[in-house]
Amino acid sequence: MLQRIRDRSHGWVAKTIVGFIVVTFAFFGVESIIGAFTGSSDEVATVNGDKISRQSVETEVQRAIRSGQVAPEQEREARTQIINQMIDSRLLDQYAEEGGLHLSDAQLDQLIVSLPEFQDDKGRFDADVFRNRLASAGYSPTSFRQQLSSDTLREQLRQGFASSAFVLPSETEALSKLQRQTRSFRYATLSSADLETPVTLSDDELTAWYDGHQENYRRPAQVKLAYVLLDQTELAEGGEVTDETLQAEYAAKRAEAPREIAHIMVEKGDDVAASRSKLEAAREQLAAGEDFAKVAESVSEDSSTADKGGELGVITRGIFGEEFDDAAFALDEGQVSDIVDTGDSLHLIKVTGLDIASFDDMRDELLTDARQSASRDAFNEKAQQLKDESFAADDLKSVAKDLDLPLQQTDWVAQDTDDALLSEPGVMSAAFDDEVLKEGYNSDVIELDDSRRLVLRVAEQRPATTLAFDEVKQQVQREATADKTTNALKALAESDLKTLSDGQQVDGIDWREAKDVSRQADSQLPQSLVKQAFALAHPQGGKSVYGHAVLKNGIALIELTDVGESEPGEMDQFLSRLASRLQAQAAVQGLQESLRERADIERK
Amino acid sequence: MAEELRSEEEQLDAIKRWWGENGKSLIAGVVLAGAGVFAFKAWQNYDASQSEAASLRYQQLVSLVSQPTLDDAGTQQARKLIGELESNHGDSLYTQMAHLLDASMSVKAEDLDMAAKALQSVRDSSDDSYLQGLASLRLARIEVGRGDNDKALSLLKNPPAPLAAQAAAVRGDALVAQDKRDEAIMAYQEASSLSQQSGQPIYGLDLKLADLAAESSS
Repeated sequence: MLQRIRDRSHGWVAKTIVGFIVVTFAFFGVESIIGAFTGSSDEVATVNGDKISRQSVETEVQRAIRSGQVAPEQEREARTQIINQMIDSRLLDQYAEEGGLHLSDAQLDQLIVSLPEFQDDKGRFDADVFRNRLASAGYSPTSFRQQLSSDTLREQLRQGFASSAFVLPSETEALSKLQRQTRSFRYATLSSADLETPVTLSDDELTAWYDGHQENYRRPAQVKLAYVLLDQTELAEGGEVTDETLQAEYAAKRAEAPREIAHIMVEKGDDVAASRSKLEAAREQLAAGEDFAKVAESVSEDSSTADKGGELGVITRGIFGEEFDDAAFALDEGQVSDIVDTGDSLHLIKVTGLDIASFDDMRDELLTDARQSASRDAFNEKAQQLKDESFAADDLKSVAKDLDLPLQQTDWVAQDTDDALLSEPGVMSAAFDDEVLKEGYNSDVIELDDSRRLVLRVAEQRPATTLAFDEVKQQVQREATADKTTNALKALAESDLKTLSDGQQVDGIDWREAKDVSRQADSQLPQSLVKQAFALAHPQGGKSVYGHAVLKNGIALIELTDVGESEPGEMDQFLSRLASRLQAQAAVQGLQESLRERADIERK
Repeated sequence: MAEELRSEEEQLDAIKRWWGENGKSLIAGVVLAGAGVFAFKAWQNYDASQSEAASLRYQQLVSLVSQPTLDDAGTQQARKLIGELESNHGDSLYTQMAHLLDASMSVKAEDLDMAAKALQSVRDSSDDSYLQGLASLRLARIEVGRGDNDKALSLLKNPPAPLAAQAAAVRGDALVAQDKRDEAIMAYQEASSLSQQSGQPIYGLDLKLADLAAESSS
């Protein structure tokens, strides 16, 4: 390849190209050439002619994932959101620049030095901490300064627009008065028993209701499924486990159990041979039957353990390095190692105890484990078989038979079924997949979790439809009757209310008093009743105001007699803070919206 | 090709003649260009240091205003900074934002006249439609607070789209104060539907509508 280029580089075309590359490199650097070929696909959006590169989006996405703000499986949705945020930020950056907002290098330096994130434990700026923090967040010092600068300028904008939001005392007062308002009224409930004649419906009325409320009687597309479920827990039963297997398992666990360790340590120092022979001597003493603790006290150079019998406590692998671990985990209780070289020092290690229960105590646990691992193998084998056979077969019955699993059948189910198994992720979407629904194939193997696999097939299907009148007649009857009853009660209420407003009495009304009710209704009164009582006009000149509220089973007549006010409490401060926060939020959102409206944004 | 045959001397003569005709303007051009670049650089430096000074003053103002309570010395200091921003950096966004902060500071001190003045200066000097709209909206609320409802209503005409919901709500407040119940209901209802569209809640709208018995009139 290179030779060929060299051969042809004598031609004028090649010379021109090489010349072009030389000139471009010399003046503009390597990026310009790479950019020229990748440029078109390298940006995600332009904002008023300003580009947002794919790479910068990627960096932000990765940063969000690494910091745990975004779960890896939500990467896709997060990307769209991040692009939108970046466009919004860019708009604010441009607005800040146009408005002449500026941060000098000196201001930026001062800001960086003052950030607690970059300070040591004495509150002083620490350059190493600075660099490490940046590196772990994926910033270079330059890119971080840039980011910090635009963040700070955007913050200045936010302060100008949002922190300047205010709420007038008169506004708070007005809201507080409304919140504290109380109403006194009396009410009486009317139910179907109060109607002179019970509601009846003709067939025509029923049909009319059915025709007018078709959406109530719609049924979604449904399928009947056949499926095979492979469940490891059901395989776990049975299978003989011999005592030898359990013993072997126990030995393996024992070999890796945490160990209680004592050691005698000698620094290697300059004369390694001398150190070694010192430890050899100690070893001989031990072999002769000398107590480990005594030898440790006289020989060990580990001052923190020498007078405590050399006890280091319980260790697991990974604390003292590989050499130490290998030696320690090769020993059984009571044994002492050969001399172990850990680099700086030499050790004699003794295992004084093992942190593991006895075989008899662990027998049940071992048995379960052994059965599980046996069933795991059987499960994996069957899962593979299920995959192969269900892919090849034209039906599911033969697959079930070959795997010795039952073929299960469902009743009619829609895509939004609440059946415990069928509503698990992936099941109904597989059933309504074109290949399965339309072509009639077996589904792929669905991995419900580590220990369950499912394959399904559509046995029968029916499209979405509106149910025929006869099928839903009872439901129609119920709903239409309820509606007509409410209307009849409303009419009765209206006529009663008219009589009352005219200053006359209505017989047989059972009024109940409700005094000084606040908006935060006491629980005895129905919510809709209180809401309606507060939606009536204020009584003027001692004249009651009448209204009605629709309750769960009936209608309530309301006679509003008085509007009052409860004592002001701590509510005012809360109201003013809440209102001011909403004002602030709206001011910033509005700015962002108006910038978006005016901008020329192109998404690629 | 006669020109190629001309002697070196003739060519030299031609060059001298050309220089004689164009030399002065060429030198002048180079000098001018040089001066231009120099001036531009100097202006850039000046501009950057101006912006830096504005940025510092603004930052100081923000930290003063964000204190929960401001004593007299603090208020004076803040006023001084606002004055400096206005006289030295009149066309900077910093100055406009300083006026906005001034208004909220004055409201906190219950000086509505001062707040109105600050917001009025944003309206007078900004050419940004949103910023103007925001200042008008806030000024209108102060006018309602001061009881000048007609002025408030005139300030609330043609708000920028992102502020339309809030503007309608304030219009409702002004109309309520003028006892124009039906118009107020319409304004609140407009605010309510606009705020639902934009997803920006406005606190208290439902209460105000219910209190006017809006449902029983429609």
